[in-house]
Amino acid sequence: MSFIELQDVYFRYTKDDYALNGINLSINRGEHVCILGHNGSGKSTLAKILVGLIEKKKGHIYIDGIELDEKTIDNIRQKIGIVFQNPDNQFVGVTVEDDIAFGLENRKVSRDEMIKLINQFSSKVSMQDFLNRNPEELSGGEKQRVAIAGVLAMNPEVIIFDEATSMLDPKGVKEVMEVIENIKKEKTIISITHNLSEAKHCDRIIVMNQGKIVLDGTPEEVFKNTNVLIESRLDILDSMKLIDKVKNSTLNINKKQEVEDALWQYAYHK
Amino acid sequence: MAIRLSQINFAYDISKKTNVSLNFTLHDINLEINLKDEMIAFVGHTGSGKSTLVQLLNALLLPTIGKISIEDNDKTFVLEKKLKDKFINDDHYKQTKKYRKFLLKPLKHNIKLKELRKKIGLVFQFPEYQIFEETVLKDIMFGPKNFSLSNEEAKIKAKEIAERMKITDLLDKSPFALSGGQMRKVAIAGILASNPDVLILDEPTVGLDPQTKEELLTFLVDLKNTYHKTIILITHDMDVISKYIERVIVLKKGTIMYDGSKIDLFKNKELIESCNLDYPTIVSIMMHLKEYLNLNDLDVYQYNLDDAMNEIERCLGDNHE
Repeated sequence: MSFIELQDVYFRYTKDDYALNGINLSINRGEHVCILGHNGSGKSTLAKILVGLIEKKKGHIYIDGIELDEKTIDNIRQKIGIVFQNPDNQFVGVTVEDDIAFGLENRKVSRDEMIKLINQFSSKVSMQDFLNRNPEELSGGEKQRVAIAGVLAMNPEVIIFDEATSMLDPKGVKEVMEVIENIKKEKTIISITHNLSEAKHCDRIIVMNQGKIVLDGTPEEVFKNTNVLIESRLDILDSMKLIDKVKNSTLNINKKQEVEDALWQYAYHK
Repeated sequence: MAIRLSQINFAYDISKKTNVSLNFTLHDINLEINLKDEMIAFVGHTGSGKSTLVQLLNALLLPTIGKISIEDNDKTFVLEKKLKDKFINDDHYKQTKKYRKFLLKPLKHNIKLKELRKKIGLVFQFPEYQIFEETVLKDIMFGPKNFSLSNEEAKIKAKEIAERMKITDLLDKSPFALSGGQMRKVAIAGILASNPDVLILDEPTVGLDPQTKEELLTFLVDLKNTYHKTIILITHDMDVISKYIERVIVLKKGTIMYDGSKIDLFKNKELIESCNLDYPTIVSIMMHLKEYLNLNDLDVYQYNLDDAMNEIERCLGDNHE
């Protein structure tokens, strides 16, 4: 069995509309998976189910070999951390330090250990010089980095980023992406987004539409399915739209190949 | 028909004590914006002063020093607090208590600020967080009622605007039952119901999916084209700018670094780099092709995919030697 395993999972908010409509999914330990979908595709519902914020209606969910249910949920929650979309909705502390300490206090960590952990994780997200600042005064990107440090301090095995960059300016997005890049060797990461250019940095992309998984593969494999991406109301990268145009252009076959290669290179790496 | 800002300086939190340092958020801003037919973007990083500037435009904040004049039909409205010419470069005077007192003095104006706010509507970032009424209809009516329309008049206005925004099916719903994109439209409708000449929106597309984003931007373009409104967006998204905007104003550390066409901006490499701005995606793709394939002749400044493809064909086609 994989590290995270979903078997025939269903969920609905209203009577006749399934937000999750039979999800089968396996995620390996250490994988960086991106779940892509438009607003309302079911991707955030999936994240909420995994962290036990809402309960599935049907199916089975296993995390690290343990089935998620009422009895195991407290145990399983310790394995999973989540960073939410809105940086303003996740602060409890008056200072950055208090905020990172909050979860640790709940776990009754000793003071010396706590100071050590706060220093370690604030450095990990490059916020070590902000420990005495009020989170309110920070930029969006800085706030999200503090939130990540707070999650890291709890030492979860899986971290879910639920649209964690969608409310940030370009600088903030870059900062958070760098932190994710930095921690992905140590954790299993699930990023939830509707942004294709963010998704290309992960190992595997899962595309959701109408509560179902419609594509599952490496960024290269997924990006080639332009039709499915369009049906799923995702914004196709301009570089891929241009590849389509190059294919139908008057260029000779060698030039076509040359330009296409250059554009794929752009699509994956820029 | 224009709003003109002359030598505007602005500081938050001015202390009477001269030993407390004085930080201006905006420095010597000069700017003229027509009250109709413009499509403008304000660009700048966090702390550039762009949010402060738009709040000055609709009198939510008032200048610390400087003059704002609004020419409207035959009337001219003025908000002004002028520093005497002899003091402008007098550093000694600027260390005195007198100067602090001057900065704290209220500004003179011959227009009711409420009138100005009605002319220039401001939609904050994430306006959906400011929705509070029981139904969408009531929420849209709130603005016009606040600007002294009767209940009936406000209702007519609200329905009119709902029709224009194609959200009539939402009017009886609770705003809290709507999706994020719908809520944002409702919040914008609430401002439009007061019929402002200028509509300012702070990051209106952040967090929207691509389809909703395009719908909203197309609607704004239509507001300008059909109803001759001036639309001002605060945005970081260079693709939005390259597709929908005509004039760009770049701010950095409280100063206007650039005010002109988007095309000239994107060609100004030095400015783009010094203000840490991105290129529109298509320009950036073309730059990659130029470098990767050694195409010295390729004109990278293309703003839609068809033009980009034509330029690639021109540069690499068989007719090209």
